Amino acid sequence: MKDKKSFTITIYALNIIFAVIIMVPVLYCFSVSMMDLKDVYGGRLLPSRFMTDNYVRALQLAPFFTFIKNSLIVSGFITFAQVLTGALAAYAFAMMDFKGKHALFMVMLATMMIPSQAIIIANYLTIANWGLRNTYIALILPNAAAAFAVFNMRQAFLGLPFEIRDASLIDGCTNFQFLYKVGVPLIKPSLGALIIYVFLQSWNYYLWPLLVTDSVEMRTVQIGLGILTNSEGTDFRPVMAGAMLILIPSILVFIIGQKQMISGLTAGAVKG
Amino acid sequence: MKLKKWIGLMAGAVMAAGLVLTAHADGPVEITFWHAMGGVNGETLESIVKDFNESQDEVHVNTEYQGTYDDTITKLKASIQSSTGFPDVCQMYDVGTKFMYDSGAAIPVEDMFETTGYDKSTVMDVISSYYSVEGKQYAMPFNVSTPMLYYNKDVFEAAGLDPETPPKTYEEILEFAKQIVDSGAAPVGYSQAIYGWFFEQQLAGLDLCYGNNDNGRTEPVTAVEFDSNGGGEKIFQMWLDMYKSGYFENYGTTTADTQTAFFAGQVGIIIESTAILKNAINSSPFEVGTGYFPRFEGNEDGGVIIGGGSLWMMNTGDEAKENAAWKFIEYTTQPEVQAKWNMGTGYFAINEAAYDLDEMKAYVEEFPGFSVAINQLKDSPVNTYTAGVLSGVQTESRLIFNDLMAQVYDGKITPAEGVEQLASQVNSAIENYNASIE
Amino acid sequence: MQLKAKNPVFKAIEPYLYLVPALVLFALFVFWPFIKTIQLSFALTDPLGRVAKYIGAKNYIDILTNGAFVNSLIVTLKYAAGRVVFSIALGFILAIISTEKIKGKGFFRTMYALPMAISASAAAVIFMFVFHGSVGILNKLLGTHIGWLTDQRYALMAVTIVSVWIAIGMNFIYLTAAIQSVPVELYESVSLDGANFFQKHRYVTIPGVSPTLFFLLIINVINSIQAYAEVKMMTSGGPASSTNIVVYEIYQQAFINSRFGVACAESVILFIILIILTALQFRLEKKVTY
Repeated sequence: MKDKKSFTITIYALNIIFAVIIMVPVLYCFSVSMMDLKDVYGGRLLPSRFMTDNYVRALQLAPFFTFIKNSLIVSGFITFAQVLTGALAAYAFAMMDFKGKHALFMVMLATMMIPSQAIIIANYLTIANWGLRNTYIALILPNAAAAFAVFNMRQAFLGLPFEIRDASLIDGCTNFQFLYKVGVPLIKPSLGALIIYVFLQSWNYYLWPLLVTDSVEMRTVQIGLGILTNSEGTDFRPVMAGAMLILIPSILVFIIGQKQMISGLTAGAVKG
Repeated sequence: MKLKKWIGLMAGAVMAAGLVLTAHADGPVEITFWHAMGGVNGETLESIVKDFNESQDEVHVNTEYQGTYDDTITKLKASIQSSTGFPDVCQMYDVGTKFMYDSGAAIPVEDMFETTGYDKSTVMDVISSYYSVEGKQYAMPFNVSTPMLYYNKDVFEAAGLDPETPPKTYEEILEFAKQIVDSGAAPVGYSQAIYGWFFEQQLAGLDLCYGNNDNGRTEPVTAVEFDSNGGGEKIFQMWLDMYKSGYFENYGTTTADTQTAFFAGQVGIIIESTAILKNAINSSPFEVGTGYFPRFEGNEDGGVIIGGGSLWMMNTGDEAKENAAWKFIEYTTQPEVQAKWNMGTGYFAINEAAYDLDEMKAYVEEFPGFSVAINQLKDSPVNTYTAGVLSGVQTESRLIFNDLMAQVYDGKITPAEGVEQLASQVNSAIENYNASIE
Repeated sequence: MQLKAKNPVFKAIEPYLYLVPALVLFALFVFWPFIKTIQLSFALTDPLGRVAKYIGAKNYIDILTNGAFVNSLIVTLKYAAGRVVFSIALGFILAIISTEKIKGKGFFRTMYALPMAISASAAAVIFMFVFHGSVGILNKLLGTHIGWLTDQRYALMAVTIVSVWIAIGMNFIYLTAAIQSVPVELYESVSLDGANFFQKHRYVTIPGVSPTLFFLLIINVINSIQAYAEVKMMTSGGPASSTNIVVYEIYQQAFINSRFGVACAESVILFIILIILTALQFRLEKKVTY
């Protein structure tokens, strides 16, 4: 009994320690974004008074609301497209038999191993030739499919019992009907993680949006952060404010996605 | 001479008239201007463009921020290759000059001088010489800076030093730094970022060239000279000695880190670009003093090279747009515009007339540190050393320098080895570059 | 629909139809440009990135014989090993301790997964300030005077810590999901056999989550070799190339030094290395998956 109690205490202690370690950088960022310059030079943990000047400054230097809107549109479409193209391909790889399956899967995985820096100029030329510069399509299309999404969903589909599919197909369900009516809902937990992951990856793009867009109306959040870091190299406060501004939408997406995951996780647990 | 000027003016008037006619027929000519100015500088730039657009109705300039200079040059290369999305005017950093020249994508601004009767002499020679290749001016300097010395007057006072007397040589800096640290006025006496630009400046101060063929000004550079002329080793050795003294702290290659340490009152003396003066005054809770870029004893009269960036007129093949681009570039060189730019950013005004304006005089009075910067520039002799090296691989050369200087500080290689490796790596980059543009 | 599903021709081509959207996009935006990359890797390129002349394998010979690229491979190896091992191990530990019967489980889980919601560049910006040599909070807290990002002895470690922090969230989420799907009966039966906490996880959890571990291993290896936002923002590969991971080296050659041919050759070599690494891991999977 005593053992069990000390074990529980250890678990709590570990959880609290890790949670603090992981959260402190974000909280600290928030804290610095409210500081005045003296607090920064004095190395304070908390601001002596809360001020919003740094946010005003960050918004003056870069129109973050426009950037956030664009990034939401672009990341949203990219995520949707990757899940769509990924689910289709993953379903074929996991649930169907066909010639060249293994080879095609390897070819797809190989796309993850090509450094994007090596192909970005060629892609720019393609987009420019198609007259798509400075459009949302230019930002979305080259990222509308990703091997990571295919691989991830393939693993999830492989985890499903084959009998479910066989039974559905015997009931007269087509493959496609099975995929969106049964398959996708069943892999919801890992889909939640995938959605967050893909969304965040596209939230992170810098060089590609910079290359294919010209006008401030089309730019995305990382360029906003770039404007701040390039011009405010010595004053971290507006930079931290900018970082907070672009963190908020992504954390919201995370919380929504995580709810999906957790409901999926518990659903799975009940069945298991 | 006089006649020529008259003809030029007449031609300019005729052209301007032609421009007015076409403009009135189809509304203002729209041109695109790429720049790399974020923050305060970006805001001032936008305001200048707005003034220009409102001052006349023939040309309308649309500004587009393109990230850092490195980002801008990447994007420019991509758009030159695809021949789409080309800007009409592009801002480019000093070390991008050779690339722009070799790319053939730009029209030398000097070509416009004759047809529009522009008086080249309004821009200070020491500034325009950087952007001249074989005697021809290719770009119009816009944001111009030089390095200078910054010091913390409060720290000087606390250390028992005269707050109005900055050190002039490295030898003096070392003395002052020792006194600052020993008196406990600040934990660190002196700092300078690891930055290839300072190395180039120091060579010019020693009246030495970085590259052969007169720093690439008469013919393209084919090899560096700082190894054979002894300048490289002298500078590396001095900096290492300072580092080893214990009064010098190295905050790495990011100049902003050195600035932050200075603003936070941890360092007594630093070297930085004149362009940060305004920020330094705003960010420092103490009084900032300024002095000339330090020299070696015996070379106190050496000059400085200008840095910063310039405006390039791109070859778009559309004459109306090219004329419009020039009109805008010409506007940016007016003393009033340069004064506004100077006061808004801390970059130099490129013409002497700007400093005679009342608002500039008031500004210099308000920020006396700035007169030091101006005088340092005016005192700089115009010669091949202060013209700076014209090389297509200067960005890479500075990166190689960063690597090797850090190794010298760490004692992994000696200054002589550092210079030797720097020379051989830069030479191989130059060789590669020259082969690729044959 | 019914009829279509039973049509033998349709049945034969159906699987490929599912692959078409992804494959078309890959062909246009990955394979085609990569073919150009391979072509350029045999060329001397002009400052614009166009072929000046073909020079055979010279780019390859140059990068393999001069120290910079080889050094960047070694740096990458250290960085990737640190990142993969620590981010998976920590993600696993967090998944286990937050699966125990405790109050506030949901809160802890949200905290652990949160770094996933923070983009690499935002994280880099935050940590740049934490690690800052003169005004950073880390030195203040530890009472040290270390240039975490500017001293060759510490910079790679600092960058690795940041990327571990970024990567923990995803590993944690996947492993939590995997642990939850391990049948409860298995734990009950080993408990009856008297297994302690560690034995329980050694004999039930690890085999149970091994497919997920395998997936995470592959993804983390690839991601850590491809990551560069942290390095670009925090150190630019310095000091003295001590954090010059290979992808940053490629970026620098292509976009700062304008040596596009060299960057392409480096990309091809990196691609080959990744293919070999992944193939080895797939082989490993066949051997160890339970």
